[in-house]
Amino acid sequence: MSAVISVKNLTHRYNEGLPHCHVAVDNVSFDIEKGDFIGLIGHTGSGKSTLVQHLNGLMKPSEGDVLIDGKSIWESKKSVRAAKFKVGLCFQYPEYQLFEETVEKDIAYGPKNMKLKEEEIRRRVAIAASFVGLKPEHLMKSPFELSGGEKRRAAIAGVMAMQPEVLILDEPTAGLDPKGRDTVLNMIENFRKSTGCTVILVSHSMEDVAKAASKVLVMNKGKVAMYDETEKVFARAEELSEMGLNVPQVSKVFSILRQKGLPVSDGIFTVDKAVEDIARLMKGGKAK
Amino acid sequence: MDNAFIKFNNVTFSYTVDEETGQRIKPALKGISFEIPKGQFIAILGHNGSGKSTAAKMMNGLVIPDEGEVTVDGIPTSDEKRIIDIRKKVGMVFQNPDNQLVATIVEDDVAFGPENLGVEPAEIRKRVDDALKAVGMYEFKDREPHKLSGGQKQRVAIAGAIAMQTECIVMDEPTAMLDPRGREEVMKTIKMLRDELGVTVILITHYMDEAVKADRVLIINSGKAVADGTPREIFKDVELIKSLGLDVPQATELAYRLNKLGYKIDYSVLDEKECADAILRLAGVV
Amino acid sequence: MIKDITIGQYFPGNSFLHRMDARMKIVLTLALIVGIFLCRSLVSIAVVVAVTFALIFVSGVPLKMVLKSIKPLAIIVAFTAVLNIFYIRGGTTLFEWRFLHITSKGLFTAFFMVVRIICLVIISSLLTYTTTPTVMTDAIESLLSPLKIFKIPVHTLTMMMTLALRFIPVLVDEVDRITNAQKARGADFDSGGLKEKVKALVPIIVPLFVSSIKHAFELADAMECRCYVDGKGRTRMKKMKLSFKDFIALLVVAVIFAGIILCNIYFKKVV
Repeated sequence: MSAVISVKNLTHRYNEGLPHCHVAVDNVSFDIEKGDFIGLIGHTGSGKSTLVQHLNGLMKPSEGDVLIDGKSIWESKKSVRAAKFKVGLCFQYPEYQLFEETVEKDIAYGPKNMKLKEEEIRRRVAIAASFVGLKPEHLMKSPFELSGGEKRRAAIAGVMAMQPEVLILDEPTAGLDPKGRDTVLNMIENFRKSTGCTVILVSHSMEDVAKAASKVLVMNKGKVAMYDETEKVFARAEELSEMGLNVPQVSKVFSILRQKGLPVSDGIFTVDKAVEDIARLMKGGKAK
Repeated sequence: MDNAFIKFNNVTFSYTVDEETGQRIKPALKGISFEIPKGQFIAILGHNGSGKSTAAKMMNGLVIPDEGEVTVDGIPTSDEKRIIDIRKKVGMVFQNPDNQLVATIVEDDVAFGPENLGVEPAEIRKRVDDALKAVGMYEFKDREPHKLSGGQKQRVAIAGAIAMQTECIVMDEPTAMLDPRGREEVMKTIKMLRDELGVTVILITHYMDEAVKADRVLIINSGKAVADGTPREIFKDVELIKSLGLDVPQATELAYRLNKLGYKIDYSVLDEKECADAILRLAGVV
Repeated sequence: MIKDITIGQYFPGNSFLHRMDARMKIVLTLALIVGIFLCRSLVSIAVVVAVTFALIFVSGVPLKMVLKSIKPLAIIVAFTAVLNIFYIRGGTTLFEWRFLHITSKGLFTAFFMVVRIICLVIISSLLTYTTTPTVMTDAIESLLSPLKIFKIPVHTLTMMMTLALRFIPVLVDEVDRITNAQKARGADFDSGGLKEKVKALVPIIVPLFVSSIKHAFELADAMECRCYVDGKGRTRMKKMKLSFKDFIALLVVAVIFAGIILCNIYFKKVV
């Protein structure tokens, strides 16, 4: 597998040269493999928002570089622009970016900026809308007539319609009810499976990350603190809580069980796996 | 209940009016009735569009029922002359912390309510200082609200209600826009409100881990109250909760699913500790 | 860019100026500004410069910060100065080349203009540096309250001012957020002619407008919940009271004012 995004010694300082200069991202390097589903976690101020805005060339590194498919984003003006289309970034509360007269036109905004042909735009809008479960009658409405959850999905479709190689979503489930959260996570997973797109999910919800991501990248104080498979990261519950991060509730249950001497498996972070593991334990007779 | 503080009596309300017939259609609330006694911490759950926010806005007369009645401490909210009396008793905290702070300095914002009520300046000063100390924001009194974190802003909003000496605070998804740290700050403040100030707290939330901390959980679905009880009673009914588009804490779900597999495990558990204990009992360790 | 503007910013402190009654501060600031423009002689302008620097010192606001407030005006000041130098005729001619004349009067006028503008900006920014926006609006409300006789809704106007001040930083952040979101969707704000550039702003202005309306409605609810009824029967936590120091300040400004006028009489007027 090859790296679709490669971050090399990336440093970002705010207010460079001023007394209140602040290093948000501090000499960070890592690769993102094609097709991965990565959960990006870290508490507010850990640098994760600044980091993701470098991955599509929205922010320019103070030092270091970001490569997409092996080429620097900052090679030329053209490559900076191309980066926006290769790496789709969907900000927190994306429904606040809706502006067009109809949902259809709004979803088409990104593809239009890519200077695609009318026909291709229409095709992409239709595909993106179907991924997020918006029906043709929704597309003709004004985005401001949609319900809260529908607005969110329309906005995400706007980024999906650009058919990026990498899709980054910053807190896509924030403020939604449990059902809405599941719907959004499922549609992201569907999109990933059918397009082979690499996905980076930025989230405060460890339950969401545990459910969706195959790898987790942990940011802390501007540095990459961990970057590994999901179960390996959640197995380090103590370190995570020292960084002010949580682990999924089932992982907490399991760490209590482990302390009490029950031989449960490591790295359990979803309810499904937890049920399996306890059942395995029970079948193997009383644990001592 | 005799000591009902807030009383919903067969309340119906609709935002939309049919253009042709002039009748109200698509009601947000359909004949809902419930009571909240003084001093209780109640969590109201329901998916988006269930009517729970409308119910919240009725608790201090921001929205008046089409049919039925809401009373606060015996005063009907439809009584326009006494609306100030009601708002003095019931404060509100909203979801977006930015949209409820009116002043450019923290302490001036907390003073806003008492100033509107015509309280004496010296008394306002005392109330503002006390309220800010209660929520742990006293040292931020001279700061500008936009330089605070989300959790801090919500605590200032709560202090604004405390300074009005409200007996009850209704919070409409106060943690929805906050990070985990901010959510924790708000939950701690709610606990302080109930335990130390004896304030009735009505918390509307999507987070089940917050609801389990309440004295009582009320679930609203399509404009009706469909479940009402202690968190333990409510979350035990995993099937019902899920069918209402809600969730149960992972700890409860784990125990419940083990039970479904035929293991004799008590699944009326609410947090990780209770769940671990139940599993340990099942495994025969304890 | 927007964040660089320092006028209207408050600098926390506890100096004499910070502790003065804001109403007196506003009135005296206006008086000093009038005084600045009355200066006609070199001695009186020297007095004004001395007073300005004395005020900076008293306020406790770092000189660097005060000077920053002049920076955005540098071009305007330079432009006026140049214009004055070449256009004003009078006094002795110092330099002549084709259509360009530089006269002593032109030089003096330019010099006075520059000093006046700088002193004016410094003194008025000291007012905002030492007065919180809330206190400022309260003071304005109080000063304008006689207008209530003419049925002018003074309280409502100042409340609107407070809310505007409160929401400016919120909206600035929002513009940043929306701009970034649209850039991520490939919006191009840099290339194209004026028409394209204006058109490119639509995706920012529409969402900003929508969210401002949302802010307004929610804010109205929140204010209603806190028993706000358009200023009737309101009290204030921070009562404005004139104290001894305000009268001292009044006296000092009166002396300065008289000094400027006396200087104009007894010393040579140069402009």
